[in-house]
Order: sequence, then structure tokens, then C-alpha cells
Amino acid sequence: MQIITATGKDALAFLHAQSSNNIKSLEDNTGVYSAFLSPQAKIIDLAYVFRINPTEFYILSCDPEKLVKHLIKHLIIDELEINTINNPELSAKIPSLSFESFREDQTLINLDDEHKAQILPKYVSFTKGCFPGQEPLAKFQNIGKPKRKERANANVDEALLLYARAQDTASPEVTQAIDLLKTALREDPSNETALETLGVVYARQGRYQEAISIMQELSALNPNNQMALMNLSIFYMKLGDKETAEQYKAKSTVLEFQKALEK
Amino acid sequence: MDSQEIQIVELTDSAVNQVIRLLTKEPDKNPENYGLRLAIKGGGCSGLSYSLSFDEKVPKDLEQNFSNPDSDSALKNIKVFVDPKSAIYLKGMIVDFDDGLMGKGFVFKNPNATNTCGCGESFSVF
Repeated sequence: MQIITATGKDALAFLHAQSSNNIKSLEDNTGVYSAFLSPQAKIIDLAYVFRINPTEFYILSCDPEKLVKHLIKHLIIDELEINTINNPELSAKIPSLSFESFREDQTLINLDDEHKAQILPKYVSFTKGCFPGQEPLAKFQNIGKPKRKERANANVDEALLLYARAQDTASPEVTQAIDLLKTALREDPSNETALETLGVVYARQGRYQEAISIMQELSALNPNNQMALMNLSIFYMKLGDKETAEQYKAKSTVLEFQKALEK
Repeated sequence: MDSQEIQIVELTDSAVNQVIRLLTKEPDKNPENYGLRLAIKGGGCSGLSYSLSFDEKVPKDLEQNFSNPDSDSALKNIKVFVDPKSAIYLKGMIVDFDDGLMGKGFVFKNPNATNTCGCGESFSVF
């Protein structure tokens, strides 16, 4: 695997100015996902920028050749050298790295703005200061978001109605409801009602493992969601795992008391 | 939304009668948008708890109508409101009213329930 190195006294400032994410906030031996964009916010490359120290960075990129060309083109008076090295051992040093994940993202580069906006949050900081492509990006970020949330809510409402109307858990309405909930979650992965409903529907179908992973997602998203903890406790009980069920029950009870105290 | 009523819960005759008795005590309310609200919240010893109250309808509510033509009261029809999210837990539930000497009042019978606790207030639907 090829790794791009950026070495020199201006490495930090240069990479911060060129990338869409906040490079200045990195500490030694940490990294961040970042996109490199054209002024029109066309994605040139997606990368993982890893700081060894302020004058030495490693960049894992989807298309190293293209990214190096792009960076060198913008290298005018900054003092740094950009090279590629072929060293699989180096990449092993870089922790918590999911190279596969941005390889997948790479396939989305040519999609429309709205899909781009979905993958971009982990690559972009809108508070880091200006960078190439920031303005058009901010525009579709803000246009797309409320629309997606709205659409997700509408899908959840429809799913709830379909489910209410279903004769039993094998009815076609339930399958439709599940599809709508999944669509809603693609539009807005943080839709709590969609997660809770999907989990409950899976459980009613006896698909407890799937129900559990959905409820865990909900609980991770909002640790104060008591229904998630309660449902987890019930689902584990169903699977015969009393210990885990008790743990979630306890968490839920603690939360209930906290809420009562706040009142 | 089509006008066909969606069946979420079933109320027994004695539950309908009791709701009518209670609603008769609130003559100032408009029976068109006032009725029995059923909801679910977390907590209770078996996981989830029922909540019963009289309330006004809100736009999102699923509405069901129940009636007792033989009621002594002028009021013959009542409405039940369930918010769509509670409906995923309440679906299939039967609400009864137990008015015997040792009666417990409103009782939720859940054909789906696997665990209920002694007080009958909480349940698990899975």
C-alpha cells in the first residue's frame, strides 16, 4: 500500500489549508478523515491524514497518485516535501484506521450532491476556517439536511401507520413498514423513532438478534433513551440471557430515578 | 390516510361502560375530540407500563370508536386515542374493566404478553 508523506516545517499549515477537516486540532500520533476538494467542491480524493508530529504527516489516500499531483500543484512557497512510500509496516502503526471504509466512500464520489452530503460529515469540519470547496459544500449541506430529516420523518409516520394496520407480523404491511424505516434511517441515521420502531418490529417477528443490534445503536446514539434500555432488557430475556437482561434493566431503572429526581 | 378505522386495541363492554360513566362526569368536554388516551412508557417491573388518561385528540393520534347502545347515559359512543408510537406496543391489546369486589379497575389483557407483573400494570409484549 502506498502512503503519502508530507514532511517539512510548513507541513501542518499546508495540509490544514488544503484539507476539509481540522488538521490543526490533531495531536501527535492521531489522525482524521479528510477530503481534498476543488473550489467547486468536487471531490479530488478522500484520505486519512495522520500526524506523527507537527512537521511529519502520513496520508492514506484512495488515489495516491492523483492526490500527490493535486498537492504539489498547490505547493508554492510552503516548505515541505511530498513523497510516496511503499511501506505496509508504516500503515500498521496507524491505529483505529478503517481504510476499507473510505475505499467504499470513494465509489460515492461521482454521486449527486445529496449522497455526497451523507458521507461528508466525517470528512469535513465547518468550523476549522476556510478551505477549497467550503462554500459550495456548506450550501448543499444546509439545503440537503432539513429535507432529508423531513423525508425520514414522513417515512417513519407512514411506517407506523402501516404497522398499526397490519393483521399480524407476517402481513405485507409489516414488510413495507420495515422497508420504509430502513429508507428513513438511510436519510437520517439519527432518527430515534425509526430505530425504536424497527427494533420493536423485528422483535415482534422473533428476530431478536437484529432487534438487539438496532436497540444498541439507539442506545449509543442517545444514552438517555430509556425505551432502548428497556427493550434491550426484554430482548435479552427472550434469548435467555438473564444476566445481560438484568444489566440493561438496572441501567434503565437508574435512568428512571435520575429523571424522577430532575423533576 | 383512508377513513377506515385502524384496529389497535379492543375494549370489552364493561370497559366501554366504565369509560362512559367516567366521561359523563365531565359534561363540559366535547365528545368529538375528547376521549380515552392509551399510551406506553418505559418502566414498571416487567418492562413497559401502560398509561390511561382522558385527553384531547392531537392530529397524529390513531382514533378508534367504541359504543354501547344500551348505555343508561346519554353518551353512547366513546373515542380512544393512541399515538402511533405507542401503537407499536399496544397492538392487539384488550382493555377490560374489572368491577368485582376485589376488582382491580382497568385491566390490560395482552394476548402477546409473555411476562406480566403481579400488579398488572406492566408487561412485556415480546
